[in-house]
Amino acid sequence: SFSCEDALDESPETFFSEEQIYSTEQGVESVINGLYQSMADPGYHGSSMHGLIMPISGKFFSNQGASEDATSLNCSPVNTWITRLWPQMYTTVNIANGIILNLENTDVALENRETALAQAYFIRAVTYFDLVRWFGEVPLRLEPSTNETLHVARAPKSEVYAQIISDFEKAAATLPDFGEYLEGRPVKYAANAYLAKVYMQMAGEDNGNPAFWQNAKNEALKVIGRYSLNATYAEIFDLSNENSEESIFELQYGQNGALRNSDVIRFYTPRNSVFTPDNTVTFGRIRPNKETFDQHVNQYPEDPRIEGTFVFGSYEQNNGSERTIYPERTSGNDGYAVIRKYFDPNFNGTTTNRNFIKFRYADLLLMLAEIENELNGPANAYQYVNEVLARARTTEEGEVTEPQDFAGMDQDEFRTRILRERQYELLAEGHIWFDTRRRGYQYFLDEVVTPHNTHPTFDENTDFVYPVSVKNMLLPIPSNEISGNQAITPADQNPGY
Amino acid sequence: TITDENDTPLLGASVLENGTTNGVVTDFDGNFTINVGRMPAYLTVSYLGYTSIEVKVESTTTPVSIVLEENAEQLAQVVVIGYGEVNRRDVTGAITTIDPKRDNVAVNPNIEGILQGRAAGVQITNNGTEPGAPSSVSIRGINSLTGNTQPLYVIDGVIVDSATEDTFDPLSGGSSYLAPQGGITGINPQDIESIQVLKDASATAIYGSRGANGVIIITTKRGKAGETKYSFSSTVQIGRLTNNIDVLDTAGYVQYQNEVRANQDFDPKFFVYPDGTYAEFQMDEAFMLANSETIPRLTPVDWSDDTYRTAITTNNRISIYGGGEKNKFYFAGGHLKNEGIVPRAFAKRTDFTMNLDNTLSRKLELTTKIGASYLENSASKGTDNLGGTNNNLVRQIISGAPFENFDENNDGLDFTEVIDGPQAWIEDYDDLSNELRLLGALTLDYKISEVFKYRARIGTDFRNKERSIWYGTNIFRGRQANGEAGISTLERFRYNIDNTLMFKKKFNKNHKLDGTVGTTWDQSTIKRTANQASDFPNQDLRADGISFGQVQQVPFFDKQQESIVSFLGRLNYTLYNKYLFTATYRADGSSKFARGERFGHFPAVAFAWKLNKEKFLRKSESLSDLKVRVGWGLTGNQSIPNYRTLTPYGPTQTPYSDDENNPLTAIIPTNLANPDLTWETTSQYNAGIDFGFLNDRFTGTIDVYHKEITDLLLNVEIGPSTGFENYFANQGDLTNKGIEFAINADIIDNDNFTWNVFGNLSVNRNEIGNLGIPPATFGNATYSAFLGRQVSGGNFFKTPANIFIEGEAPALFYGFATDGIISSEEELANAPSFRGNPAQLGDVAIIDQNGDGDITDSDLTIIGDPNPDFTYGFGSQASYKGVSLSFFFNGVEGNDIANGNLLREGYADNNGNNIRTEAYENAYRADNPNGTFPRVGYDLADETGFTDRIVEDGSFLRLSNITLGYQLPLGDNSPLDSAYFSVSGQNLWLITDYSGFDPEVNSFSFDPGRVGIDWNSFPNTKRFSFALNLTF
Repeated sequence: SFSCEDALDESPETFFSEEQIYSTEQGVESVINGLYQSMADPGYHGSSMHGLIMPISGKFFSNQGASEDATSLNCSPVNTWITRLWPQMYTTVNIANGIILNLENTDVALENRETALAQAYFIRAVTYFDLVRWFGEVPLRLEPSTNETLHVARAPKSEVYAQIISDFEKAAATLPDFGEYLEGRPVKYAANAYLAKVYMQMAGEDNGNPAFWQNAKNEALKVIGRYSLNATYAEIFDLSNENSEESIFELQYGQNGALRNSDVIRFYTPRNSVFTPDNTVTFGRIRPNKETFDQHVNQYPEDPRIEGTFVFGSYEQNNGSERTIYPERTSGNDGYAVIRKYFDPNFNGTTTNRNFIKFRYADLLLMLAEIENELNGPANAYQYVNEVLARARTTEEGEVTEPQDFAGMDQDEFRTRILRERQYELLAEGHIWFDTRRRGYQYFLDEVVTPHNTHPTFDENTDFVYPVSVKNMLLPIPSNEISGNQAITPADQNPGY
Repeated sequence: TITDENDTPLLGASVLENGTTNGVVTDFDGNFTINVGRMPAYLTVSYLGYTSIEVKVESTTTPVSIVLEENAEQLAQVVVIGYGEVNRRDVTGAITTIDPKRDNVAVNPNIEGILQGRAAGVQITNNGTEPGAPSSVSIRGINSLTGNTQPLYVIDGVIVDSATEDTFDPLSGGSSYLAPQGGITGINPQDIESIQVLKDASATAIYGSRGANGVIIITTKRGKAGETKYSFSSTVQIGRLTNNIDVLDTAGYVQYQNEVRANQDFDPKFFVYPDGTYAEFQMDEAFMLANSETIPRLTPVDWSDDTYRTAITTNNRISIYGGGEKNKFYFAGGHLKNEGIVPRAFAKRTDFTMNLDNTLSRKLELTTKIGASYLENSASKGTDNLGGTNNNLVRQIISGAPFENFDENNDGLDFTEVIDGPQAWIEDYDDLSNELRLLGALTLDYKISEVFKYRARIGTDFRNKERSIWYGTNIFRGRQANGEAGISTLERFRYNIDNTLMFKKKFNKNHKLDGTVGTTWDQSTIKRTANQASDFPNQDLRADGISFGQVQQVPFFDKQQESIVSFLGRLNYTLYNKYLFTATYRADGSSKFARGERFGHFPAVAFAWKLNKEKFLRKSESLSDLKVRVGWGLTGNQSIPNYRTLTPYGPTQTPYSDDENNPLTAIIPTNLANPDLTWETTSQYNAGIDFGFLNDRFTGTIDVYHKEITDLLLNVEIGPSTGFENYFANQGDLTNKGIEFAINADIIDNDNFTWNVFGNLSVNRNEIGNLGIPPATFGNATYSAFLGRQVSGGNFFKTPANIFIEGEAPALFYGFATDGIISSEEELANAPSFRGNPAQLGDVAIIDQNGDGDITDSDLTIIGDPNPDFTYGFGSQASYKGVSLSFFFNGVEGNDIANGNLLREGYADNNGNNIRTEAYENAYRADNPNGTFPRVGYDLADETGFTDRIVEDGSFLRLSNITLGYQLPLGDNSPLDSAYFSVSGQNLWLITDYSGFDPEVNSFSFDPGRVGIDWNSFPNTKRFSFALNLTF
C-alpha cells in the first residue's frame, strides 16, 4: 500500500549503496580499485607528489608561477598543490577506513575478504607514513568520517607510527604471496619492506630512537631475495618493463578515459621535444637543480645512470633542431637538465600508461646497507650497496667501470656516501624529500640549502635563495584543514609557517 | 444605495445614465442621487471588481437598492495567491502586483527584466550581459548562505523551480567553470497578464518548504469572449558596446613593455622604426636598422574594435484570442533572436503557448495551458576559474598584446599565463546549447455547491537541454589535447498534482468565511549525461564529431528523483468587511531528508484592518483606502542536492588500471552523509499599510519586516582530513530586516492627458546570527566566522574574497587594507615588509594592522561590504492623446564590488599582458612621485591576493528605459483596432563610480560563497529599440 514515507525514501539509482558494494566480491574489488585510484589520483601521486614535493625538496626547480612559493622553499598554507595533496591523501585514508570497518564487521562470506582487508591496511599505512613524514603530527582517523567526527586534533607522531606499524604488520601477515592475486599489486613482502623503512625513519631522525635500526634490519632481511634487480638501470623506466621483478609497490596507470590521470609526462618532458608525439604539449617544468646534476657527475662522471636519469647538454626538438640546456646553458628554464625517467612516446596529451614505482628493490638494498652500517659499520653493509652499483655498471653494451664498488670506508664516510647514493639511484622517484630530512635538520641544511645557495652559477637576483628555516623540515598544514577542522587552530601550525 | 453581496456599502461606484455623460459616484454609505433626463431611466452601475449591471428606474422617489456581484474573473482586480485568489482590497499579506506594460515587454526578453526595480524588496542582479545569461533574483535580502536563494516561480499553477538547474559541465575534469544558463525559461513576457510577488510569510507559507525565498506567481493571458482578435508585435533592438575599459594602445603597450625590460637591465622587447612600424627587438639597434628590409613587422590592433560589433535583436510575435461564453482561447507564438556584441554569441527562442477555457457544464470548467519553447544559445567564454583565467574572451580582449598574430599571444611558457588572442577564441571555441521546454497544465474546477468548489490540477514541466563545448587547437587548452569536445545533456520532468477544495460562505452580512484545503504531490526526475573526448585527427565537426575523438572518457549518467508531499489549508475570515483574518498551514515532507527529520510544518497568520471602512474615516473626502496589515509565519527551505543524508558509492573520474593498462572499475564513497539534515526555517514578521487617496489616484504601500532564518542549510567547509572538503548541514542563523516603500500617483487622469509617476525604495539589513563555530583568528581579529570560496584557481585572486562573521552582514570582503603608494623615503623607512620581503618605493602601502613590521595573513581585515544600503526604482509615464512618453530609472546604493579584473589590469607588473592606460601612465616613478598606481614592475598583485585597491563602490543609478510611443488614431472603419509604434532606449545613461564594465555584476551566479565579485564580466550595451504593435 502507498505510504508517504516509502515514497519519500531516497534510493539513488545511478549510484551504489554501501550495502550493495560490500555484499559481493566484485563490489569489494571495485572499492579496492577505488582505493588504489585515489592514491594514483592527480591530487596525490598523479600530480601533487611531483608538482609540489619535487621542487620543495630543494633538489629540483619548477617554473610554475602558481607554485613559486613552494619552489622557493617558502611554501604557503594556501599553496595550489598542498590544498590538493592533503585532501586526496585523506580521501584515500577514508576509503581504506570504509573497507576496514565494513569487512571487519561483516557476516557475509566473501572469499576475497582477507586480501581486501590486507590491501586496505597496507594503503592506509603507506598514506599515513607519507602524511606523518610530510606534515608531522596529523589527525589519526581510523574509521570512516561521519558528521559526529568532523573535528579531530593532530595525534602525536608516536601514535601515528604505532598505527602504521600495526597496519603494516597486519598487511604482512595477510597480503597474498607472489602469483596468488593480481599482477601489479603489492604482496606481503612489500609490507615488510615498508616496515623496514618505517623503523629506519624512526631510528635516524632528530630525536629518533637508534634501537629501531635493529627492527629495520629484521624487516629488511625478510625482503632480501624476494625481489631482484633488473639487469640494467635503463630498463627500470622502459615502458614495456612495468611491474618487473624489481618493483615492490607500483601504482598502475592506463590510457583510460579523456581526463588527465597524471601530470608526470607534462611535468618532466621538455616542450616541443622528440620525447613525445608532435602534436602533444608538455611543459618540461620540473628540472633537477644545477647542484643536483653536478653532484652526480662529479661523483661518477662515467656512471651510466647519468644517461638513464638525465637529458643534458641538449635535446632534439620536434622540428629537428637541437636545443641546448644545462650544463651548456645556465640561465632560464634551459639552464637546467631534464629528468629522463618519465617520457612516454605514446602520450596523447591527456593520459599515459606510465606507472609510478613507489618502492623498488634497489631502494631496499640501499636501505639495508645504511641500516647495517648504523648497527655494525660498513663491513657487512658493502654487499647490499655493491649489488646496486654492479647493476648500475651493467649496460646493454656490457660492463663499464663506474660507479665503482664501495670499499675501505669508515662508518661516517659510508653514511655520507650511502645517503648521497640514494640520490644517484633514485632521483625523481619521490624519495628525495624524505631522504634529505630524515637524518635531521643539520643534514638538511648541509645537503640542500648550502649546496644550492653556494653553487658557482648561483645568482641571488634570478635564483631562489633557499631560506635557512626549520619550517622546511615539514610542510605546512593546509589552510583548508585549519579553517574547517575546529580541533586544529592556527596556533597548531607547523613551526616556521 | 449600492452594496455588495454582503450588504456592505460600496464607496465610489459609478452610476451613469445610459446614452448620456450624466453620471455620479456613490458616497461612503453607498448612497447616490442622480438627476435624470427622463423616466424611466436606464442606469449603468459599475464598480471595480464587480460585474456592471444595468438597472431600470421607474420612480423618482423610491430609493433604489442595487446589489453588485463580485466578478472573480476580472483578473486585474483579483490577486492570485497560492492555491486561490483574493480581491485586491482583501489582501492581508505583503504582495506586490506587476502588470507588465507593452513598452516593457517589447524590450525585455526575460521575466527578470520586467521585475527589475519595479517591486520594492525585489532585487534583480544580472549575472552577465551576454544573451542568455541568467539573473539572480532575491526577495527581501539573502535568505540562505548556501543553496538556492532564488524565489519559487509558479506559472498558472505549475511549479517552475529551475533557476539553478543546469547541465553538468562536460569538461569538469579540469578546473573549468561554465557560467550557468537559463534562469526562468518557458514563459514569454509578452504572454504575461500579471505577476504577483509574494514577499511575507503570511503570503508564502502556503508554499511551505519552498516559500522562504519568496514566491513569484505568474498569470498568463487568457481568451475573452467576443470577436477574435489578432495582435502582432515586432521589436528591433540595436545594441552597442558601452563603458569600455581603457587599455594601452599599441604605442603605449610597446613603451610599457620596453620600460619593464629596461628596469631589469634587459634589452627592449620591441623596436619602433622611424616610420612608426613595430618589430620584435633583436641584437641591437644598429642590427634592427641595418636589417630593416627583412625584419618582419608586427601589425598593431585594437582588440576591442576588432572584436565588438553592433548587436541586433529582433523579436516578432503574434497572438490570437477570443471565443464564446463557453469556450475561450488564447494562442501566441513568436521568434526572438538576440545577438551579443561578440561575434557568434547569440540566444534564439521560438515559442508558442495556448490557453483554453472550456465550460463543460454548469458545474464543470476545464482550463488548459500548453506552452512550448525552443532555445538555442551560443556563448563565448565568460567567467572561468581555471588558472589565471585567460580562458575567457573578455580577458583576451583586454589583456592581449595589441598585435595581430603575435606569437606570445598563444605561446606562453606557463599554461596559466597563456593569452591566445581574441580571434582564436572566437574561431575555435564553442559553447552551444539548445533546449526544449514544455509547460502544461490541466485544471478542472467542479462547483459542488454554492459553498464548495473542488479543483484538480496537473502541472507538468519538461526540459531537455544539450550543451556542447569545443576547444580547437588554436586555443592552448585545445592544443594540449589535440582538440577537446564535451557534450552534456539534461532531461528533467517535473509534475505537480494538486487537489484542493475551496469554500466560501457568508453567515450573515457580517461574517464571511472562505478558504482552501488540499494536498499536493510534486516530483521531479532529472537525468544528466556527460561525454568527453579529445585527440581529434579530423576537427571539422567540432563537438558534434565527439565520436571521432581518439581518447574517450567513460560516459557519465546520473539520474535523480526528488519528491515533496504536502498538506495545506487556508482560512480567511472577514468580519464586517473591515477585519480580515487569514490563517494558513502547510506540512511538507521532502525526500531530501531522512525519516524523522522529513516533515516540516509551516503555519502563518495575518490580520488586516480596513480603517477606511470605519465610521470615523468614512467621512473623509480624500481617503479612499486605508488598510493596516500584520502577519507572521514560518516558511522553509530544502534546496540542497539530493542524497545528502546518504553516502552513495560512485565511480572515480578515471578508472584504475590493471598491469596491462586496461581499465578496472573503481568505486568510492561520494559524500559525507548527514542523516540529521532538516529544514531551514524562516520566521517572518511583517507589518504594512496600504493607502489610497482621491479614489485611489494616489496609492502607496509601506511594509516593514523582520525575518529570522534558523538551521541554515550550509555547504559547510570541513577539514579535508575527513576525506571530504564539505558537507551539508544545518548550521547558523541569519536575520533580514527591512522596510519597503512604494507609491503610485495618477497626477493627471483624463481622456486626453494622463500623467503617472511611481517609485519604490527598499532597505534591507542582513545579519548573521549564531554560526555554531568556535571563535578563531581571522587576520587581526577573532570571530566566529567562516570564509567564502576561493575565487580563482590560478595565479590571481586565488584567495576567498568573502567572510561570514557572526553578528555582521554576510559576505563582507576580507583582505588587506592599503593606503596608497609608498612614495617617499620617509614612508619607505616606516613601511612593513611583505611576507619577509622588504618594501620598495612605488610599492602598494599595505596597512600593517598588528604593527609587527611585516605583512602576513595576520594583517587581513574587513575591506568592504557587498550588501547595498538600499535599492530603488522610479519612473513616470505621460500621454497626451496618442503620444506617450515613459521612462524608468533603477538604482542601488552603498554596495561594494570586488573588481578582481583590476588585479590584471590595474598593475604594471612584469608580464606581457596589456593593462589599463591609467595604471601605466599614472604609475609611481621617481619623476612621478604622486602616481596613484604602483611602480612599473611591481609584481605582488598575485601574492597580495585581495586588497582594498580593487574594492570599488558599486552604487549606480541607471536610466534603464525611456520610450516614446505613438498610438495611431484610427477611424471607425479602419481594419485595425489599434496600432502603436514606439522608439526606446535602454541603458542610455548610467551614473556610477565603478570602473569596470557595469556595476550590476555578480560573476558567480547562484554561488553564495563568492559574492559581489566581478571576475571577467562582459561589457554591457546601450540599446535602441523600435517596436510596433498592431491589433486587428
